[in-house]
This record gives sequence, C-alpha cells and structure tokens, in this order.
Amino acid sequence: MRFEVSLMGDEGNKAPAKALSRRDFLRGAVAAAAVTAATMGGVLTITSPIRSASASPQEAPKKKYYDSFPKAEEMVNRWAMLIDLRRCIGCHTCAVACKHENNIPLDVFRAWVKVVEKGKYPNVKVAFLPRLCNHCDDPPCVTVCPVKATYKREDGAVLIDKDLCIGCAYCVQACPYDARYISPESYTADKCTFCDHRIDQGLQPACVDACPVRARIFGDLNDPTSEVAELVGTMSVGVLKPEKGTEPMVYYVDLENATEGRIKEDVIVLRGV
Amino acid sequence: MSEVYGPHEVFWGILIATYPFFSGIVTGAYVTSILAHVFGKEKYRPIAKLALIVSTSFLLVVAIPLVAELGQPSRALEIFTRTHTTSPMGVFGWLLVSFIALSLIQGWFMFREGIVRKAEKDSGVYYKSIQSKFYRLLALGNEDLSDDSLKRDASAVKILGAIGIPLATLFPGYVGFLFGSVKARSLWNTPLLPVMFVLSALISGIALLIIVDTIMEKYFSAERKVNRELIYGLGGLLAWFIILDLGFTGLEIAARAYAGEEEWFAASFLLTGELSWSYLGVEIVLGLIIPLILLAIPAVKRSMAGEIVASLLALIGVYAMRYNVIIGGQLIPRTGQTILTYTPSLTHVGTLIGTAALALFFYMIGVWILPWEQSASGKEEVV
Repeated sequence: MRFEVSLMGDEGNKAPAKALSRRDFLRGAVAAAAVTAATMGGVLTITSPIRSASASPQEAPKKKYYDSFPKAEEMVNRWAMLIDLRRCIGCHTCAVACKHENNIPLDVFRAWVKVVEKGKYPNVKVAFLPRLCNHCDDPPCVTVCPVKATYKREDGAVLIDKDLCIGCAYCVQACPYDARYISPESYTADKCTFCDHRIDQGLQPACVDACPVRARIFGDLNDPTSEVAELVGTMSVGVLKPEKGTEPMVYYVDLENATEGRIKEDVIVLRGV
Repeated sequence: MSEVYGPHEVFWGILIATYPFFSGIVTGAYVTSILAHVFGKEKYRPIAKLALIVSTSFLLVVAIPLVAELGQPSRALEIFTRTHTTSPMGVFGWLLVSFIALSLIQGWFMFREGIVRKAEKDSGVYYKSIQSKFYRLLALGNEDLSDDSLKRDASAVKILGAIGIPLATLFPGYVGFLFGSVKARSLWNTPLLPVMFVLSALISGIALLIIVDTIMEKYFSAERKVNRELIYGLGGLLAWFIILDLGFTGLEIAARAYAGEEEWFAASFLLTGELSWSYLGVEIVLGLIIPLILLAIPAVKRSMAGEIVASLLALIGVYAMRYNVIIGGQLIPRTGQTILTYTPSLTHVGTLIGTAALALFFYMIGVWILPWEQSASGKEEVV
C-alpha cells in the first residue's frame, strides 16, 4: 500500500506559487534556532549572577570545615559575642528581633532568654540568661552530621546547608546547649546563624542591634581594636558548660548570677533549689 | 522556676527507640547461626539455617524506622554519596550494605546443598519441575554435591562467618557508640553503652530464636518434635548473657554514683524518677532477674514452657532497655528545668508494626522456599 500525503488537500496537483521544499524548511529552521540560541545566550550572560559574582573577589565562598577546625591564628575573622548579664533586663527583645529577622516558625527559637529564679526565700532573685547558638570552636554538632550538611565556616560561624540536611536530628542531640531544632517548615536542622546574611554585609546580628541596653556585643576576636576583643580579653568572662570541651564563642559577664555559681545550668539548678 | 522558649523536645521517638531492638535481633540471630559453623559448637548446628533466615529477614527491614524518622527521607542516600566518616550514622550506611551482602552470600553457601537436593527430588511432575527449575536457578548453576564441593561450602561459610563477627558486633555496637559518644546527654554518655547494646542484642536474638525454633519445630517440621537439647543449650547461653548484662548494668549505675552530680542525676532518674517503673520494673526485674531465676532452676529450665516464658520476658526487657536509654535519655533536660514527657505517635507505632510485619513476611517466604530444617546429626533433611 502506498500512502499519498498531501499538505494541500485535494489540490495537491496544483502547486502553490511558492512551494516550500524540505531543504528550504530545514535551512530556515536551523537559522531560526541559531539566532534564538545566540540571543538567549547573550541575554543570559549579561544578566547572569555568575558574571557579577566573579567580578568582585569578595564574593568568593568562604571555606567550610567539617572535621578538623581552624585555629584562631588561621582565621580571617573570628566572630564572637559577649553578653553582659549585668545589663540584661529580661525584655526578650532579642528573641523577638531574631524571630522577625529570620522568619522563624512557631514553637521554635534560635535566640531566647532563660529566666532563672534562684535562691531560697527570703534570699531570692530572678536572673536572665540570653541564649543562642554558641558557634563553638570545637562543635560536637559538626562532627556527628552523617552527610556533612553542617559546617564551621572559616570566619567561625557554624552553619547548616538546608539543601543537604536529611533531618536526622543527630546534631540536635549532640548540642549540649539545646541550640538546634528541627524546623517544622523545612524539616531540616536549623539554628542561629549569627545572622550570616547580615554579618557578611558588615552589619550586626539582629539580636545585637535590637537589644535596648546593649547587653550583646558582637565582633571579631581577631581584630584587637574591636570592642568584643577588648572586653573578652580584659573582663571576667565565662562560658556555658566549659567541661564539655566545646570551646564556645559566646562569652558571658557575670555568669555566676544566672547559674548559682555552678556552670552547669540545667539539672543542678533543678535539684539545688 | 520557669524555662522560656529553648528547644526542649524528644526528637528521637519510638521509631529510633525500636530500631536497635530490631538490629539487636539481627545480630543475636546471626551470632547464634554461626555458633556451629565458626565456633565449632556442634550442638547448635540444627538451628543455624533458621537463625540466618530470622537474622536476614530483620536485616532487610531494619533501615525502615530510621528512614521514616528522617525529616527529609528523600535525601537519605546522601549518607552514601556524602559520607562523613567522623559520624557513626554516616558509617552506618556502608555497614548495613556490607552486612546485607555478607548475609545473603553466606546464606547462599549455607543453603546450597539443601537447595540442590530439593531441585533433584522434585523433578519429574510438571509443576514440580517448575519448582525444580526455580531451585536450580537459586543454586546458580553450582549443583555439585561431592564431598569436596560441600567442604568448600563449609569453609566458605566459616570464612564469611568470621568476617561477619565484627560486622555483626558493630551493628548494635555502632548504635551504642552513637549514643554513648554524645556528651550532651548525661544518660547516654558512657563508654559502657556499646557493650551493653551488644550484650542485650545477643540476649534478644537468642531469646527470639528459642521461641521461633520451638514453634517451627513443633508445628512446621517433618517430625513435629522439638529438639530439646538445642533449646536447653540456647537457654543456658541466654542465662550467661543475662548475667553479663546485669553485671554491666550494675557497673554503670555504680560508676555514675561516683562520677558526679550530673551523672548521678541521670542514674537516680532511672532508679527513683519518672522512668523507674520501666527501668527497675520492666528492664531489670522482669527482663533480666526473673528470666535468670527461671533459667537457673533446673526443673523450670528443662521445661519448654519455662524456656519460652524466660525468653519472652527477656525480649520485653531488652525492648524496655532500648526505650529507657533512648527516650529516657531525652527526657532529662540539658538546659531546661523540667523533665520532658513523651507520648509515641500512633503513626510511628503503625510504622513499627508494619516493619515487623514485613520482616515476618520475608521470614515466611524464607522458610517456605529454603530448606531450613536440619537434624541433630547434621545430615540434611529435605522438606
């Protein structure tokens, strides 16, 4: 059987004025495709973010550490925070600002204030302990991640790549400070990032900016002219749970006030009072 | 006393608490299976094949509760593509895959003789010849039943079994290490935890095998008769491991009494706190002491009912140990002021029932297809 296929219906015998041969059609199609490709390529190259990123060397991604962590001398910046508990009034503005700045979902917090009632009547007092991720120098959370989704950046911030995290919560278990949680929105691990989107632009984290009494000081420990380097170096500072060997980067002034003189801030207070 | 806003939640629930129970059964059953072939204890040869089927059935499903608990389970294969070698959980993926491969290969060598005999027996009748073809396929073409060939099978099983010992020990061992190395949780943080997980794994495997073997031999075997010497031998092994487990449990409590306030709080939480009924009542008394007493009384030990009851109680006790360690450990606050509470979600319980059912399904296929029976004399009995 032979099939006669004609584009022109029954008038196939009468050729129109200009018949489009297969060769011409193919030539035209290739030409059109080439022009389109060239145009699109040109437009994309001009508007591509890759081009603008490579134009400025400051955009080069910072090194990530998963296993052995950098020494202080090796780091360009060394972000740290000092929290002066003598100034903290327990207003929780830092917690609210963090919530707002980072769009934290309900029921979870990256920064919060622990309210401690200490002492026995009539010698009682309420103490405030603002809390956040300590961005430890020897972070137990980074060591235990099975897929290298969390890392310590070369400037000291401990961050999570939310596209890699499988949500196993091992890092949440490993953190001695309850700083991590599983986000009910992304179903991955999440925590305070020192507002990396702000500090990378030279701003301060949201909680630091928001504190009305300037109880939080943030800066570069490797910069001897920074306020935080001066205060950490000269004042009487303490960190939470130093016996765990995590080397936290959040320092507290007057820490004993909120921990009754014992650095363990959890069950000891529960049993001691 | 008020605690404001810190993340205080039980993140690893009943799914993760039950996973070491299943993986413990895998190890316990596997070690029982190689007692004859690798350790030369001929008394346990009849149970070797059944034990391997039990072990492999659970091994194939053991990852399900873990993946179900992940926040992003679709990314689970990252543990293979981005393995972080400092993380016990990262290494687990490779451990699981190697152990599955080893179990299947070892099983092939162990069952080859029986498979070939089954193929030869049933050829002739039409549907039986399809069955025969299926068994010949399983034999992978190696149908030699000469003494040399069988000796090679035995030595292959011996070598694989020897390689399997460290793998099988690592299976509950890495879980114990995973928890034991978390310095953040005072109830978990002890180097004794891997040892205790391995011991209770062996207890659960042997206990389950006592029950399974009794049922299989009584109702599904050719002779409908239970091999009592085998069961009594297993019961004796069970008793010894229970003694060891009790010893290490006592050691852990004693060590915590001397270690310091935080450690002792964890111990007293178990002994006198919210979970004391589960710890003292179920895990210690019901799960360890009573079975030990039952197995120590000769009259009870020599009765099938006594062995079954002791095994059931031991299994319950091992499950309670997993629950107390994993969930109990999370109930103690790290930076909070109140003990947490946890209620298992019905979905998770459903997932666990499904996982166990799937293991049972694999087991039933295994005993249906494979010639699991073996007489005490060691000669093959074709079913």
